[in-house]
Amino acid sequence: MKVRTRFASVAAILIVTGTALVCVPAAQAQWDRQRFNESDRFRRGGDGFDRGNFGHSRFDESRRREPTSTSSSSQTHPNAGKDYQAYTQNKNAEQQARYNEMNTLQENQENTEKQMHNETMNTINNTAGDWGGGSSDSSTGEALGAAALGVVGGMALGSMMNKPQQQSAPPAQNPYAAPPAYYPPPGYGAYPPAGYPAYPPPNYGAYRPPAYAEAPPPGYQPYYNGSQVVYAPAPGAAAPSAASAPGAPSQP
Amino acid sequence: MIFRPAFYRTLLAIFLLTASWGSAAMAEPAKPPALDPAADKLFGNMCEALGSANAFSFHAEVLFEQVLPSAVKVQYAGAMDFSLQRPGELAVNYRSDTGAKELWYGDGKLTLFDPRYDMYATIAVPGTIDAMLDEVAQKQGLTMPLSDLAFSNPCVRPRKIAIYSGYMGVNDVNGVPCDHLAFSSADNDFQIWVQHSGKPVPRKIVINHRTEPGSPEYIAVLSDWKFPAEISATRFQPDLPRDAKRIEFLKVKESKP
Repeated sequence: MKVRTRFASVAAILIVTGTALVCVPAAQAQWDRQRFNESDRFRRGGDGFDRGNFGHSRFDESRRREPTSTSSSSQTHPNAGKDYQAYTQNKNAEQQARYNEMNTLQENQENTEKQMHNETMNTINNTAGDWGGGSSDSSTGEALGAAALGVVGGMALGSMMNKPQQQSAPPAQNPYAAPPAYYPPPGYGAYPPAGYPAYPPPNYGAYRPPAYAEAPPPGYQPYYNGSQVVYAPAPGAAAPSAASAPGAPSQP
Repeated sequence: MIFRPAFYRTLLAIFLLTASWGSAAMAEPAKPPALDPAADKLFGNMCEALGSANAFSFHAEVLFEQVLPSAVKVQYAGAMDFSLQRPGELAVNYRSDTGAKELWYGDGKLTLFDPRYDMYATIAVPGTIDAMLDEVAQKQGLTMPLSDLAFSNPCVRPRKIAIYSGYMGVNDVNGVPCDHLAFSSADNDFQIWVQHSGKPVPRKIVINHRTEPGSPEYIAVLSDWKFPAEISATRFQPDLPRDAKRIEFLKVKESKP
């Protein structure tokens, strides 16, 4: 009996070890991906001018950059890079905190949505079964249930989705219509994260639109950062401390 | 306590089985990309039509989303007039709910004007559109909307980053039948509706920044396509207000590893 118990324990340890070996690469890849995205996710904003590019980006996704100086050869700007770094650090820390909160809220919301979806499907199936004559194993009921699901799904996805269904069969090598076995690819769905926030979010009123941007501190000058106007210290001015630096570059 | 040989054999078998399972999972090679040749061919036709044109212009109605720190997603609208003449002229007149920009590129200079601030910057740039777009993206961190369409071969970059693509069928864009193509890169999904009949120009572009919080989308509906033999040079010369203030670009530099 003792031998059997010990045998079971050792076997369990080995199985757990093997499972961990299998899971580690995927977990590591996911973590790396999240870390990369978090460092780069708040780069867009302003008036939308720097958007609308799918193949050409101002950032090489494999490299990180930081602003250091102006591009003008006639005007040096020793403090701009340092100051901007302070801006960025403060801004990123604040945004990261918000993002963490958002992730938690999103997880709750997704769970709620999943539950609601399941309840809806159950209701539809039950209703369709009743239409089919009330029999619990009615094939007519199942068919009607499937039809109802199709209608609901089409409504949920929008009327644009009805068109492809009416057309002839898609090309053979169409991963969207006939996804391969491994679709979606590994790491495909970093977003949406688990859970979308419950509504309304707690800090809904905390957001101040860009129109309410703070006036720049004394001695700051406007510069283009990409396509957006931001404020940084004038050449020769002392770089402000992290506490006195504004939370984010001013935007119109 | 004495274990029987059968016990050791079973234990060894379990260990080998588990270890081989783990190593097989770790050594699993990356799956090949699933790119649809039909979508690629239609995409190539569009790139050929744009890349071979000496000059073109179009209007775009734009919708773009911003995800607020509170996770609420809001949508803004914009509009844009885009003119291009090869080898080295480009003009973009852009206005949106949250700002506006005017960009002129010609004679080796690029000027970016922000009407809301009444400020502009002018920099010397390369004389060809491709080189200019790459340089300002690298040095100034500046990209302009739908600049993918301005490259001499608009297909190169999307093909490089696409990991999935599909042909979705002939679908409608404001009454114009279009070939609907869908692509996915590691971070974004982008869809292009290419005019089905006549010149294969893009009629609609949707970009979903899938890996960003809230998956914000950018939607552009393109219209009023023109392919003139020549566009007047005045279109590409800066037209600035008298009191506009000149400012400089912050330069971005790669951080050392």
